[in-house]
Amino acid sequence: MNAAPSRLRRIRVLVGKEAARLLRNPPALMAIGLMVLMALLVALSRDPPPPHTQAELARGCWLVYWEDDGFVPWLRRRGRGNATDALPPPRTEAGVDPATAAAPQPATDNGSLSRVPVRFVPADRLRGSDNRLRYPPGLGCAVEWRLADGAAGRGGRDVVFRPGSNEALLAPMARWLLAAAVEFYGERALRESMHPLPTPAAARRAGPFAGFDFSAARTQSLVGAMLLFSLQFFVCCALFVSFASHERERGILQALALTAASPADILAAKYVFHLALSLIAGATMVAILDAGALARPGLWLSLCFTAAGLLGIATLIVSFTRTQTAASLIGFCYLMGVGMVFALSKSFPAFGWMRLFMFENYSFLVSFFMLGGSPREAMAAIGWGMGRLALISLALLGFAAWVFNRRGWRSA
Amino acid sequence: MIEIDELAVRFGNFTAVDGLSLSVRSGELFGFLGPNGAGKTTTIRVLTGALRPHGGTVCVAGCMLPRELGKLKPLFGYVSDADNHYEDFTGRQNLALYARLYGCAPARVAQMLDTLELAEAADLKVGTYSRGMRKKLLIARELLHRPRIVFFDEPTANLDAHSVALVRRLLRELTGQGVTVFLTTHDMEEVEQVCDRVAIIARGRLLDCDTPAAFIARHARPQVEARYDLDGRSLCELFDMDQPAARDRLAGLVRDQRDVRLRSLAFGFADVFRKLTGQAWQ
Repeated sequence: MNAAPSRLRRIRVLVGKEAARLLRNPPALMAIGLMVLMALLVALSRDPPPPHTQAELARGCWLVYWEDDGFVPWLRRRGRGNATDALPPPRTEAGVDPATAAAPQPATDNGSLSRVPVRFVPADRLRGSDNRLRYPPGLGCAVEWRLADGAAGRGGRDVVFRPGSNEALLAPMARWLLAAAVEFYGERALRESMHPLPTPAAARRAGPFAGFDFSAARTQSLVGAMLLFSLQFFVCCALFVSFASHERERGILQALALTAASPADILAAKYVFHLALSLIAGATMVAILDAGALARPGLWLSLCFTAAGLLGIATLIVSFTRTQTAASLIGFCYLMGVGMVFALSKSFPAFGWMRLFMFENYSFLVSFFMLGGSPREAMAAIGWGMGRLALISLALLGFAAWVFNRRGWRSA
Repeated sequence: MIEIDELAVRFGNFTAVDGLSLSVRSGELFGFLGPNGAGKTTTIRVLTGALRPHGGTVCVAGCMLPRELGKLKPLFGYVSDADNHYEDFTGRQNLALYARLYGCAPARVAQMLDTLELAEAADLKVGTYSRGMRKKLLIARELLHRPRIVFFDEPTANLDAHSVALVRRLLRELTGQGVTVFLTTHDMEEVEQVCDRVAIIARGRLLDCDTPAAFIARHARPQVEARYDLDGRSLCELFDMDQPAARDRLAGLVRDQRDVRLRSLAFGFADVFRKLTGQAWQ
């Protein structure tokens, strides 16, 4: 007989075993790699990042106008009147009206962007032979101001924010431009004739997400959050279920539980391993999608709590199924069930209520705002989402661990 | 070493073990026999803490189960009837994992591989092993930590004749070292050869418990097979020598017939088992 090793040592041995099993499972590694690769493709597909240096910002935000119905000259005059000495002097550039005026100062959230000149540029100067506008590379912010299609003579106007524009610059520009439009056209005229903006204000939601940005500009964040959740589901649920249910079916879990290691040790080792793998793979994915998000503690918390919830689900699946086949089937049903609840919750209130008790709901939204939201949105997401995510996930994990300890490790 | 008193285990409406009481002495090689579904594996699962009993008390190595399972675990090994190795790991890696969990020295792994004659295949993946090799690896694994009690569930199933002899020798060596061996098997020859005492159960109840020799002495039914020709037909008859009528009939047959070929049938432990468990004796 030998002296039994300490619990920490036993867990370390079991974590090593989990890692060795993963390394001997090339399909699992390939699946993780594939998801990270998808994130890379998403990242490569986006527009080049907006300029952030002062030199680039000195080029300012362009307001490109198609028609002149008096608003632009009014705006230009108003801007000249408000110009400050601190603004860089207007420069002559290809396609830019030499008479451009320094603009009023749109206040920005970021101090480094606080003095951005606005340049008024007639669209004709930028229009190519195919009638499409050609913006110079490296331009951080541009807004088109034009008559809406088919609305000529009725005062309809579109504000088009150039895709890929620097959002930090666009937000104050939008506020400034709208405020000026209201002042010029009158609020009533604006409401009746202006088309909805295709940018932040148009995509706002009611309820707990009021004021949050769900615009098309956030597509990458949306895809990123989906990829991140998929990755975590694979690592913490699918892979866990596959490994553990195989062990249970073969009687390996029981054999391990009858050694000096307890069922709690076995489960702890599995949790440590899958959580670590999920964090490493998730962080790699986030670094590819938006490296800046890694600095947000909320992102790490959301990754941890999501992993905890998924590990809880996986543990329950393993505890209530005797074979690997049954466990895989239940895992698939779980994924399908979550998808259905999400899809049906928009139309059927009962599913909406169900969604309130699902950690996946909060996990997805918190990740979404952590990846692409402004600091304000990220903080708000932490406020309302993180608490619920943590509460549901940890409760689920605790219950699952209790069930596993009672029956989950025993063979049939 | 093992005390079982009025053990009861039920699965729904089915009673797998019904008021079983047993006592196994320290250093004894105890055979635990019964037909399929008699409750042998269920009893072992209770004794190893893998199953909670519904009634009765179980005490193994001074530990009350299931309450003191944690204290008992380092003291026993359980060679189950099905192998449960990591197929992607080599034999050596499988043993090394358990050795680390038990806190054994790495040299112990090589020693057990040698003992079970698996050293040559030690660095092959278990997935490539034959069923016999897997069984031997399982035995090696469960003996790594030098347990005081070992539960063997059909240890010689799927083994070749040479390996069977090896395992039987190992069983005797273990008891020689003071290890208590609790053995279930369907190989009655094995029972006769290695077991100190035997318990036979059926339908969850204990039928009898004694040494194999005492079983045979108590339950043997000496029989004689007689072959002879009658009216051009070849006949074969069995005579139970415990029955006076059968004895008289055999005496008459020998007296009347010129050519009677007699053969005394040996009565082994398998016959005792069949008799006790209600199987027809052929």
